Amino acid sequence: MNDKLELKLQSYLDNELSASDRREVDGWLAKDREWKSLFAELQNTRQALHGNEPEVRLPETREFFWSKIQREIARLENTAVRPAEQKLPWWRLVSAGRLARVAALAAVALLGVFLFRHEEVETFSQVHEVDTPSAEMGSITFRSEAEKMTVVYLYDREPAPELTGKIESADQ
Amino acid sequence: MNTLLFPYRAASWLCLLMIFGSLFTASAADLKLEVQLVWGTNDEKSPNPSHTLADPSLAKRLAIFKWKKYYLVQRQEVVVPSRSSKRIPLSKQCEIEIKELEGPRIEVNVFGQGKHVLKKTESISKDNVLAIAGDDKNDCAWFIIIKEL
Repeated sequence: MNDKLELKLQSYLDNELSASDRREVDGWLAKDREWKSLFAELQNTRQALHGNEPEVRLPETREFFWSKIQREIARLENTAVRPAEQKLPWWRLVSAGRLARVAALAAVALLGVFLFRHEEVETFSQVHEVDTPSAEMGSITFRSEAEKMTVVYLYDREPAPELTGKIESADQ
Repeated sequence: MNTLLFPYRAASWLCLLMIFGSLFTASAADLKLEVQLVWGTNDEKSPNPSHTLADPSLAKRLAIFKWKKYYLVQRQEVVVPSRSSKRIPLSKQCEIEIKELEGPRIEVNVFGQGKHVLKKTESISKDNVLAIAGDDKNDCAWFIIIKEL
């Protein structure tokens, strides 16, 4: 009996073997008591795992749980070390028509600012729509389209006094 | 002569119409909102008997969270004047300030124990609800629900 043959027995139990391999394993089980006892042990283990597997239920919704993962990914990305930017001397910026391109871009940007000032303010405020000025508190924002609800969930970054205190005093 | 002046007159009328139109759209109305403070818990009864169960439609919306029961602690109907703000006390420790912005959007500032803890800008409509929430003691949670009336 070796690892490979034991794995074959496990595959037999999982019903993953071809017909010829199954016949071969059937032969082992019919002749050898050691194979038979190992098979019984594997069967018992499988049954025990199957019957007692704990069912884990997420305390939050899928959207909320995913928003937390997204937040953590964003946090890790922000802390990742960025390669140092190559700094060009000022005269290199003037050369090779770069100045003309920069000027054209600046002109377009200025025109945009004057013509679409209102729209720009809107976009800016949408990007920076959530702000948690308190150092002790962070927030997770997510949107449930099904419930047509935007949720901002506040959490303590560090142990701090509760925001609202006791429920007894909440309606006073 | 009159025929020659017609394009200029038409342009003038159009300009006047646009000016009046822009004035009309810029003057936003006051915003009527419903603000609710709701308590989320897994207990069968609220520790405060004066709390009633939250509206079933709101409880259904909040069912995306883990709590089984949602109790209404306080409900207020507030009118936020156009382009102005209003401060609304919700409990001893918590109050919010709502500012009416162009959009229609609102800026909500949340204060906990006098400390500014959140500033949130959100588009508001009668269908959409803004919920600001957080954990509290004994595995409970509080929810501030803001909805346009």
